[in-house]
Amino acid sequence: VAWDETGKEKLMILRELSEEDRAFQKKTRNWLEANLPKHKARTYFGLHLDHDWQRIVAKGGYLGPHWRRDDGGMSLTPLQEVIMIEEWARAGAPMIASQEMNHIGPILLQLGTEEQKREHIPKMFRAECFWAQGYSEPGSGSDLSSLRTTGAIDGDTMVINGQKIWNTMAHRADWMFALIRTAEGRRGLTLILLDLTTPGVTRKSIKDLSGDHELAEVFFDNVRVPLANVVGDINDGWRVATAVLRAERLRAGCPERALNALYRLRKAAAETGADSDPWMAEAIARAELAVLTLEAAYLEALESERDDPDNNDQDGSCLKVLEAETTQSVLKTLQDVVGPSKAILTPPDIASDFTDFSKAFMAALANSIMGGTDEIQRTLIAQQALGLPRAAK
Amino acid sequence: MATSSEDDQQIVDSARRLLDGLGGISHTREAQHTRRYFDRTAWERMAGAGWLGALVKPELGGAGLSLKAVLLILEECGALAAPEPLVLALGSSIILPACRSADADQLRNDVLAGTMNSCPIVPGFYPKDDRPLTMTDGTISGITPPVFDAHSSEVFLLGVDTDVEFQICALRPNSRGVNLDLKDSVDGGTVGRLRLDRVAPGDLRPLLGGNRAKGLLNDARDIMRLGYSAQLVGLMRAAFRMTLDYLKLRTQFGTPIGTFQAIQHRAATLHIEMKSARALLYEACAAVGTARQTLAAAAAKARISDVAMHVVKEGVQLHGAIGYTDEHDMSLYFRRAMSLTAAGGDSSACLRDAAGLIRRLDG
Repeated sequence: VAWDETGKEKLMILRELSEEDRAFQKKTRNWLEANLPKHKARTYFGLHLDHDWQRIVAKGGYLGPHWRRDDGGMSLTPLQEVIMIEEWARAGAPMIASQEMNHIGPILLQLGTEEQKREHIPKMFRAECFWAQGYSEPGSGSDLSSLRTTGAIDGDTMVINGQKIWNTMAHRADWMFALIRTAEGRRGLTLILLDLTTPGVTRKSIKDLSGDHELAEVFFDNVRVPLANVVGDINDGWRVATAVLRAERLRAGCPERALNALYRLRKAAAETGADSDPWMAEAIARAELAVLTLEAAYLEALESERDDPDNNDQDGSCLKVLEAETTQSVLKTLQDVVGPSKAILTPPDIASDFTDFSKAFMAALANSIMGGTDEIQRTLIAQQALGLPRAAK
Repeated sequence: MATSSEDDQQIVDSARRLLDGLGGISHTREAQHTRRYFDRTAWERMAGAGWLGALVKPELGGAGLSLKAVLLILEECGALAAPEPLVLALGSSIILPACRSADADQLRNDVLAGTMNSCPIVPGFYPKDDRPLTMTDGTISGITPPVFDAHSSEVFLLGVDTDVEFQICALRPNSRGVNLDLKDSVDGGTVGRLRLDRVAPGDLRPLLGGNRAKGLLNDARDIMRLGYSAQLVGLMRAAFRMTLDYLKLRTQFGTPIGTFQAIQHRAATLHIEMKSARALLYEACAAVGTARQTLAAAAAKARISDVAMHVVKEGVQLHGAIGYTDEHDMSLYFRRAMSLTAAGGDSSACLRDAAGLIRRLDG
């Protein structure tokens, strides 16, 4: 790719980059060229926990883009965060695991004890410990207030019994942060950190529709966890878990998957000649425009988070829905572009070509379910941001 | 980028005050029910506020505002579906200050003062309609692409391929051989085309020639697209706000209809679309003056046009029968949206432009 003034150096970003931003972009691109193993490029569409890759990323200093440097992160500006995402997508680098830097890490930073921070955060930055989220249960998906996995307090330990499900990569993670019922009602939840190798923990992966094993279920049979692992106070877990929800949801709306999908679409369109077929050209153009819009919205939301941290516009929910719809629609167009090939089973080694049409398309179904379904997000937007009244029970 | 600062808020507040002083939405209602409406008093007030030369440097008689400030003002005009052809003034204010001649200076002063209206005819809004005006046997003939709300314009700024070079010229529609063919639009304005039949070169006053002239018309095209987009962003915000108020107020089956999940989710969808469309507008604004200016403006106009029509369509639907009446203000927003989405190139035309430019970027 030519490094020139015509704007080709950016994938989607519309605004001009400053010298400093260009330098960051160039450094990131060079680092990826030197450090991304060829066999890992464009291998997965969804989120695979690739411990080796995470360690390479950690060593390169690319963990925690939005974390302050003092806390171990990169202190990137919103624009630089987007530049990094674009470079990751351009290189086809596997996504960075998100539980550590986007979920439990920020919770600990804000509400954890000094001991908890000292114990866990440095390991996250060295990619020595991987985390899974333990919120959903078989009877409690969208309605988290009905969680039933219980924690009985016994001296200085909590004894946990029950089951969690849909825990992304829990079968390959080391620790879990889980919401456990310690009393009745919404106020009766407690957030606790637990080592997944503790006796009494059983983990089983779940094969998903696309044939992958991203999800897991976790069973607890008298699992004893020290109370020192409780984050915040007992029965204050709901507040703790939602304290950093805005930042979490914002980054769930990150356009990385959409950019990856678009990259595949562009390649497939060029290879099949679909980009010169007027019937397809409009759909491809709409896909481009959708990703452009998502990226602009993401950048705006990150800047608004920085400049106006208290606004209640539910921009995280908006982005999360927009991301899922955009990625899914781009992949739908990709399905149309490849025609009969769309149903071909993705070969195990896809790094050399762009034939993983079926797997990516199926994997993206999860985007509008995990982390709070699109329906839940829309209800939040309607009631919190737009002030529409709740139905009387 | 779209986050508002105190300065931005002041600009928005003063724009609202001026528009309220003109009668707010009732001004719009009157305009939409008056054939070929133009209110010189309102126009002169806008001139007085510096809106007609908002982007022009103060030493040339303008207000020297940033493009972002201008778009914020246009959002407020859109929020009242204001009928004034401010985007024509915006386009003129890109072209005229670059033309340095006694003629052009005089024209610029008149236009900025609001005593004379000029209408830029820029190529590229509607690719199918782009047929350059050419010179044959020493006279100029041809048809311009359509332009919205030009009925009040006393002078047109247009590009002509003369024997010597490409030129931007000023032309009065009452010159010999010139016919301004106007059709009424749904919102009280017009869609017009200039037909030139063997017009004498003397009637076309040259303002600027060469590549600089072509570049200026391209800039005017992009910035006018952003201007129409900003009006649409304001328009959809107001139409949506009105719809939300109604959802909270209107009771059926013993409960406000806004409590129904089917309705809540549709409202949420519109909110998501509007928020991201506005983000795209100000991202595009930040791209003006860079290699991606044309792409950004085309992409923004394409997306915003689609979202705006979706919002007003849902606005009518969610109001039920009352939303389908002329009496309800939703009708004003719906009809104005029809014009503003077509002006400057509709969604398809802009999408085609954006797609072509994106493909060239894909190095």
